Amino acid sequence: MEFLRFGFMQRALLEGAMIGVLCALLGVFVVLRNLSFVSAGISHAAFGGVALGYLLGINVVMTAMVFCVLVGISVSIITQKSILKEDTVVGILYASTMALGVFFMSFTKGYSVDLFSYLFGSILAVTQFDLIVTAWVGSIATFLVLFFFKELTVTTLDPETAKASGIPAEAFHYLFTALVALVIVVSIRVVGIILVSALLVLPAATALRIARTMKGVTFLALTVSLISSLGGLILSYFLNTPSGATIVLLGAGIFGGSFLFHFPR
Amino acid sequence: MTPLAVSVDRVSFRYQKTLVLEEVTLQVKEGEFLALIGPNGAGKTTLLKLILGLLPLKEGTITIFNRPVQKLGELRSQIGYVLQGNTINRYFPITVEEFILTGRYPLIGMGKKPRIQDYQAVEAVLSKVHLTPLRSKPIRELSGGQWQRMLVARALVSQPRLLLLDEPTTAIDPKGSESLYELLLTLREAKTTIIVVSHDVGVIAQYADTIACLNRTLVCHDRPEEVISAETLETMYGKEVAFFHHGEIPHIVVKKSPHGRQENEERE
Ligand SMILES: Nc1ncnc2c1ncn2[C@@H]1O[C@H](COP(=O)(O)OP(=O)(O)OP(=O)(O)O)[C@@H](O)[C@H]1O
Ligand SMILES: [Mg+2]
Repeated sequence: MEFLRFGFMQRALLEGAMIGVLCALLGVFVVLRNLSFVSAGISHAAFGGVALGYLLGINVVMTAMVFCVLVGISVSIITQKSILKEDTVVGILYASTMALGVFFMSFTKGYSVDLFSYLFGSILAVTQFDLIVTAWVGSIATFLVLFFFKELTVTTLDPETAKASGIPAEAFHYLFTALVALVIVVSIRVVGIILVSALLVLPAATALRIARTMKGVTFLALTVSLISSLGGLILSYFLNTPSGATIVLLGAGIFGGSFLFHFPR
Repeated sequence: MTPLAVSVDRVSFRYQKTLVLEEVTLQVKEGEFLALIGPNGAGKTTLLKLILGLLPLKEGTITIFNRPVQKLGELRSQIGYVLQGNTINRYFPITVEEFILTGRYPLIGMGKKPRIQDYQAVEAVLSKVHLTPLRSKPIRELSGGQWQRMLVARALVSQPRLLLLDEPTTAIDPKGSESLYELLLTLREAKTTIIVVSHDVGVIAQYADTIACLNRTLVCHDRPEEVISAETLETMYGKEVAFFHHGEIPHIVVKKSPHGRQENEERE
């Protein structure tokens, strides 16, 4: 347990625990609302934001948040107001924002390898500031999801009927997408832009295969998510591997392993 | 005079350019059990969606309990409905009783937890639709008919003053559909206004107070015995349809055309 003595490791684990909880909690709704690919698109948009932050020399977390929330909300609005499906809109927007990122990078003199750690995540990277931002975003997201759990459930289960009964299904969709965007941004430090959506999807998908009620699914997703994020961080310390890849591979291993014990459906 | 539950006044509706409803005027009294019939594509579902406020009303007016449909507010929680071809995610991890409970959500209010009376309402409605033994099954394990009964239960659980059912007996066996209509009759005793869309003209005629025939325009709205005549049905379904009484139950059949060819025109 000597690794716990290192400050960077303490910060990484604390961050890992927070994003583990957040990704599980939101991930269940992400999967049930068929937003897995949208969440991947949103996370890639962070690349444009991070590159812009570097170019302007301002805090990249803030620029990434702006990019991700904008892309998330745009996808929702364009899909609702046109006949285009989400996968098409995401395909367009995420390629555009990635291109924008590369464009910004070309203007940034001697861009640092640091950018690479944003792509794949790093346990060395978590700062005090990151922890504070994650704690804030986490508290707000957790509060909103728990407070509106009923409404999120019913707008996910049957949006048209929810709308007819006066529940603003569209407003909840925008709110939820924005929350997903924020949680993605705070998770990027540890898991990385390329891999973050897997942490949203894997624990929820594993839990949905096995549990039969929302309570059961949420509880199981939390367990799988925390094992993946904390276990992945500790493994990446000992194996000297990138944290994001280690976390995602552990999550994927649990997902695959669940087929050995639980095959029906 | 009995107050009106629903008043549809000169309503026209088009999807893009296609005119689907034309100058429809229809009044449903409080406590009335109305059957809405008409061929496929006649605009029945469209009319229900307009009444529910799910489609934007541009021409004409609709009032529900004397309130314009655009400004229903709280009144929305007093409308129950079963939509046709619903958009429900069948693989959602939820049990039958939890699903039915979602019908109470508008009454419970945002950010609040269900109360004892909400669970009691679920309990009562479960036994009414004979789903009590299946209450803790995940919804994905239900058969088509059980699924349909669960939707009806969700519509009933909020004890609505107005109930809209779009082909609720699809996939329900004859006995189940009879027991559903009997259930609707008991609700009418309690002054619930009921609008049912159905293609079982013969069956529904035995239960409804009035029948409205829709085929883009409102063809008629009257007591069943007046409506079920060769003339109106011909206007609605075309010449190939015949209607006869067999014992107590009226039937509608499609006549075989002499050339063994079936006309089945789709209206543009
Ligand atoms: N979303 C839509 N966009 C365009 N046209 C539509 C849409 N929904 C329905 N229509 C058209 O409007 C007409 C009326 O449809 P509606 O669903 O109201 O019919 P219906 O009377 O309920 O028929 P059914 O008995 O088959 O349920 C049909 O011709 C249909 O093709
Ligand atoms: Mg219909």
